[in-house]
Amino acid sequence: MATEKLDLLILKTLDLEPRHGYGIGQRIEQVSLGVFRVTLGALYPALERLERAGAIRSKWALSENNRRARYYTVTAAGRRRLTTERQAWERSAEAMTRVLQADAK
Amino acid sequence: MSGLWRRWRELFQRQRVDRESVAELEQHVAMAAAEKTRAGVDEREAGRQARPELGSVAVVREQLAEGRSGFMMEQLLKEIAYAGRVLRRAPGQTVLSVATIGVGIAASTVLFALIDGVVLRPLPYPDAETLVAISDTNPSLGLDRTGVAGGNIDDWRRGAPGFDGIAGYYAMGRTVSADTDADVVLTAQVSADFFPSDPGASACRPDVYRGRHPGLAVQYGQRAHRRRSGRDHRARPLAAAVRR
Repeated sequence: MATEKLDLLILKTLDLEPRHGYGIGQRIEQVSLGVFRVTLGALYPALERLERAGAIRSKWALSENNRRARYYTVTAAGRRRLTTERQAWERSAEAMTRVLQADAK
Repeated sequence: MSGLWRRWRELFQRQRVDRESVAELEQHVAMAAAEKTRAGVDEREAGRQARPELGSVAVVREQLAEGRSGFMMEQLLKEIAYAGRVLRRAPGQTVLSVATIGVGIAASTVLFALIDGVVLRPLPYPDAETLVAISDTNPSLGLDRTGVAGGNIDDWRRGAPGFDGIAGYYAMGRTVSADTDADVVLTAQVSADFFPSDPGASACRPDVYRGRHPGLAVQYGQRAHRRRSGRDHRARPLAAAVRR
């Protein structure tokens, strides 16, 4: 998965509520109906990258099963990034669709 | 944690960041396994399935560590490029800063050279740190320190076995004249054993003292003579001059 696409998926998922890494992966997989399966090697480098960039922040807390887990939250900068990247994605997805569906004339 | 805090931790708490990553990855795998167990898979089997599906914790850990150091390198290059741009944009300030730093370095170098020469570097005598200055006293005149008569030095040499040697000097101004020109130089008469007689130590040659020990500058009267006449017609020293 391209890194920008994964970053966008993570930001969108965390925009709804704070989650731990496993929760983020689960959510993306469920909502995409199993199309996107997030591995450790894709998810955690992306989380570190986003946190370094200040788009998300993390905090250790107890999970629903009373386990210590690191919870990620979107920051204000992350929300702004989500908006712009989402618009850019939608524009390029529409353009892609138009090109692929164009009839031969 | 803000982005800045995160970066600070990656730089200064590298091992802790790494430990936390491993804990987080293990936790992730454990959660996936627990999910499978809840769905009815045998606990051991669930653990076996979860790992390959998600990828190896060890490999991802390496990958994360590489990402962190790569990021640091990239950041460093960016900072250098940024500094270069800023300096180019304000040449006046750049010149001023460089000059200020240059003067600062020069001043501390000079200061260090002085301290090194005067304080830190020992005089070129064996066991220089044991050197002491001896003066005479004259209680009847109420003088704590007076000059020493040459005969006394001879007596002390004989009567003070605790010293390896005792040398004396007597400083005074003298006139050095050459042709029609004359100059006053500070000179000293010294006892024969004033300069240590280690034949291997060229540093003990009196004319070398000056450069290495600004505090005890020894120069030949001949030098002043040469300076005055502009010619080096007598290579014989006129006097050993001690400037303190």
